[in-house]
Order: sequence, then structure tokens, then C-alpha cells
Amino acid sequence: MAPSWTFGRKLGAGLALTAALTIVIGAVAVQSLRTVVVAKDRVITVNARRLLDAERLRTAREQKGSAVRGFLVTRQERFVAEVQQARDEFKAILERLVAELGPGEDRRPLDGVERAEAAHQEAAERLIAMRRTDAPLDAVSRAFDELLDPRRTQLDAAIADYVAHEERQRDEARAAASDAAAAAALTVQLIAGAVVLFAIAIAVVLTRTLGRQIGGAVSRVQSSSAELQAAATQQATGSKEQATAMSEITTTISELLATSRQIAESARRVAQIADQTAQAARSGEGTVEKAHESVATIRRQVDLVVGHMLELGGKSQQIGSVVDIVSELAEQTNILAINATIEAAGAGEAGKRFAVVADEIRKLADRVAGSAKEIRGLVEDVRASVNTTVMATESGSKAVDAGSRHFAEVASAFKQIAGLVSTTTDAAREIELSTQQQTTAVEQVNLAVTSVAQATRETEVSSDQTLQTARQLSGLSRELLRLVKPEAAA
Amino acid sequence: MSAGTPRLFATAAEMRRAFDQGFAAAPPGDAAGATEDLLAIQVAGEAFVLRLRELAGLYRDRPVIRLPGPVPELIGIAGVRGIMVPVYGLGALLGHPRGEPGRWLVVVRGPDPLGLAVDACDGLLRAPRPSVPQEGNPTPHLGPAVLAGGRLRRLVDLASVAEAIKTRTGPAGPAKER
Repeated sequence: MAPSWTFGRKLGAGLALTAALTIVIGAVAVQSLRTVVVAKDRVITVNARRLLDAERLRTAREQKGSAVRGFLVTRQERFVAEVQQARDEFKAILERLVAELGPGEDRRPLDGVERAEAAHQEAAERLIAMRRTDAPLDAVSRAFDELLDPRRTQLDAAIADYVAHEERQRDEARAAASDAAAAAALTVQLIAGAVVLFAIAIAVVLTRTLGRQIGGAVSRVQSSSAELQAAATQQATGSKEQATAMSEITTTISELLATSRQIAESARRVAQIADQTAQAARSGEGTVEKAHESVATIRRQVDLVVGHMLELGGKSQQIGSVVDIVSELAEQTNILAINATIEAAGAGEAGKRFAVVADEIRKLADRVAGSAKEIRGLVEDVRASVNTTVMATESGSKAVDAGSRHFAEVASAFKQIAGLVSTTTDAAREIELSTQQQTTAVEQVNLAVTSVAQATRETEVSSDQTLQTARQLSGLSRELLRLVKPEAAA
Repeated sequence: MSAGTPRLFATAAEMRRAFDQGFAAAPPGDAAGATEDLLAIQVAGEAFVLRLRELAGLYRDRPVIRLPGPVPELIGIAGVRGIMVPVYGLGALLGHPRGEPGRWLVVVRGPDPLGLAVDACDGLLRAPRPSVPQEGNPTPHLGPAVLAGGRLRRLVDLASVAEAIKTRTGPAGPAKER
């Protein structure tokens, strides 16, 4: 038997083979029964009917004899008609029996009966004719005893011979039928035994093959059941952990949803504030532009101041030069006055009045020198102040330049700030829109996660059921293995 | 207008008044001879006074022709009012270390006028007449201290200086070299 066949094929093949043998047995039995039935039917129908016809021949002979005797006694033609009727029936029966003879059957008994009946008919007709001739009754009676009665005996003997022949034929047919039935019974028994042996062989082969294959399969099923049980256990554990994690995720997503809403609100506020800031920045930009113009004006004024201061410094320097000349003149005047005083002192009394003039000149020179010195100090102070002012003004000019640059930078920064704030506003609005979309997405995620959590719980329940089913399957596989291979299941 | 402008105006008015007063009042008399005109100078960082009546002139930045001589304090000669006068360093004569000669030249009155180079001239002073120098003064050519111009100044005895130079140069001194 092909090992690749399935259990159904194998069982089907075995059962088909067994059924075929059963059909053969049935066919043989039917054929045997049919043969037996034919034989019995022949015994019952042909031989029995022939025997019955033989009795009918005997009855017709009796009727014909009675009619002959009635005519002989009464001479009524009614009996002659009855004789003819009885003879017609006798002939009809005899002809039917002859017609039923087979090609190989012996017809000599029927020929004997036919000849005996013809002889008997001849004797009866002679007696009837004798009776009609008004022959003496004694003579008729003797003739009856001498002619008709022996022929009647011969006819009866012929009929008896035929009956015996038919009885032999019946017994032979019965025996043949019994032999055919016995042969059919033997054939059926032999075939039944062969079928039983074949069925036993098929059962053994199927038992071994199916046991081996089913055992292997059940072993694999048991192993798979164990693996399935382990996997189901892991799946159940994983489902529980997943359910816990999904619960935490749900909580986290709820918090995330709240946070997203807060962010959306904050982003809306940021956009509002950024818009206000942009307006303030534009206003500040205008203010800075005006301040820039003011600084430029200040710078021009400072340049003028620096120019005037430098001019003042130059004038002060010129004044210093003049003062130097005055000082030099004063000193020379002083020296001259001192020499005049010396000369006056050398002139004695006459020089006293001149000494007064010289003294006044000297005092005047001293005062001029003092004033010049004071003027010099003032000029120096002026020059120092001018220098300081120039330096301060230059510093101020530089500061104004720096301030101008700073204002330009501030203006540029304000423009940049305005641009950035505008960008920030757009970004904040985009953030607000994105956050709202994110909030919507998070809500959808929350719904999805809730569904997933529900599915996870259902999966957990399903995992428990799977685990239970796996355990039951493992138990069933062990039970099945125990049924198939007790030694393996032990 | 600064705060110092009224002060300058007041100073000018005072100067005008003092100038007018100087010619309006009579010359101050010095009958008792209690005061004396002095020339305040500086030599080697010290302040001195010279009697104005002992001087013949005062000059500044007068060219001095340097000449070697037997007296180390001699700087050279200078032309004053048509005559040549020897010029000595007063600081060196007073015992200070010799250095660069001063730019001021004081001409000492006398039959043999001589010039003394000083560092600076602080002007004329009128001070009480100095008293006679105390005996046993260890510093040569210096007289008593005079309080003039708010500070003490030693009086230089120009006669002593001229005598010392004359002594050191002898009869064939610079006067004969003219």
C-alpha cells in the first residue's frame, strides 16, 4: 500500500476491497442461489407438473374408462361424447408433455403411453361399436374383459412407468439441485473465508500503518500541543503585560492630550503676544528711525562744535602767543624798570622822583606780568578745556557715530526682530494649528488605543482560552497517543 | 561770562587806582633810612637778596664770551654799556658746585665793575634795612637774613665778593685787562 496515501484513501481502499470481495461473495451466492432456485424450480415446476399431468392422464383415463363403461351399460351417446372429451383432454395433456420435453430427454415413456392409449382407444371404440350393434351384453362384457381391460392395464402400466420415470427425473433433479446448493455454499464459504482472511490482513496492515502514522502524527501533535501550550502561556503573559502597558499608554495619552491642549492654548497666546510684539516692533522701528535721524542731526551739530572748538583752540593758541609777547614785554619792562631804579638809586637824591616813576613802571610791569601770567593760566585753562572739550566732543562724535551705527544696527535689529516676530507669529500659528491637529490626532490615537486596549483585553481572554484549549489538546493528544501507542504514552 | 570776570574788573580798577595814587601822592620818604631796596635772586636753588644801591645794572640772556683764567669762578666776559666786565658765577663764589652759568647777569657797581651770573631774578623788594652781620658767621660773603616776599633770604655782601675776587686776581686782575 502506498505510504503517501491518506488515511481516508487507505481506509477507503481497504473497505472498497472488502466490499468488492463481499460483492463477489454476494454474486457467487446469488448465482448459486439462482442455480439452486432454477434447479428447485425445475424440480418443482417441471417434474411436479409432469407428475401432476401424469395424474391428470390417469384421471382422464379413468374418465374415459368410466364413460366407456357408462356407454356400455346405458348405451347413451352422452357417454361416447364424454369418452371423446376425455380422450381429447388425454391427448392434450400428452401433447403438452411431449412438447415440454427437452432435446436430450428420453421420450420413450411418453411414446409408450401414447401407444397404450391408442390401443386402449382402439379397444374402447371396438367395444362401443359392438355395443351399438346390439351385441350381447355378455359378449360385450367379455370383450371388455378380454380386450379393453388388458389395454387399460397396459395404459395404466405405461402411465405408471411414465410416473416412475418422472419421479426418477425429479429425484435426480432434486439431487442435482442439492449438489448445486452444496457446491454454492462451499464456494461462498471459501470466498467468505478468503474475504475474512483478506480483511484480517488489511486490518492488520491498516492497523500497523495507521497506528504508525497516527502515532507519529499524534506525537507531533502532542509536541505541537506542548509548544502551543507554551506559546499560549507566553501569549497570555504577553497579553497581560500588553494590557497593563496599554492601560499605562492610555493614561499617558490622556495626559498627552491634556498637555497638547495646554500647548495649543499656549501657542494661541504666543501667537497673540507675537502679533502684539510685531506691532510694537514696527512702532519701535519707526521710533528708532526717528532717533536715528536725531542722532544724525546731533552728529552734524557735534561736527560743528568740534570745528568751533578746534577754531577756539587755534585762537587760544594765538592768544597764548600774544600773551607770551606781552609777558616778554612785561619782563623786559620789569628789567628796564629795575635798571631805572638802579640808575635812580645811583643818582642819589636827584633820582628819587625818577625812582618813583621807575617803581611805578616796575609795579606796572609786575602787574602786567602777573596779568599776563594769569591770562596765560586762563588761556591754558581755555586750551585745556578746549582740548578736553575737543576730546570729549570727538569722543562724543565717535560715540554719536557709534550710536548712529548702533541705531542703524538697532533699526536693522528692529527690522530683523519685526521679521522674526512675524516669522514667530506664523510659526506660533503653525504650532497652534499643528498642535490642534496633533490634539485631534492624539484624540484619535486615544480612541485607537482604547480600542487596542479593548482588543488586548479580548486577546488576553482569548489567550487564556487558547491556553486552556492547548492544555485540552495536549491532554487529548496524550490520550490519543495512549490509544494508538500505549507503550509510547506510558 | 565766568565767575572770575568781576574779580578781573576789580583788579583792573585797583591797578588803575594804585597807578593814579602813585603819581598823586608825594614820594615816600625814608628819612630814618629804615628800609632799603633789594634785588631778590636765586642761586643754586637758594634765595638771596642784593642791595640795589650796590648794583649797576641787571640783564638777561646777555652773551658771555667764555675765557679761561686763574680764578675758577670766572666764566668769561660780557659787554655792558660799552665796557667789558668779567663775569663770575655767584653760586661758585658762594661755595656751591660749579655748573651751568645762570642766564641773568648782575653788574656790581664800583670802580671795577664786575658781573655775577645768577640763576633767576625774583624782582625788587623793599625790606627793613638789614642789620650788621653777626660776628663769627661761618658762611663767607653772606650777610644777615632778610624777610622779604614772604620768605627769608640771605643778603649777599657784594663788597666782600668784589674784595675777594680782587684779592685773588691781584693788581693784574680783570680790571686791568679791559
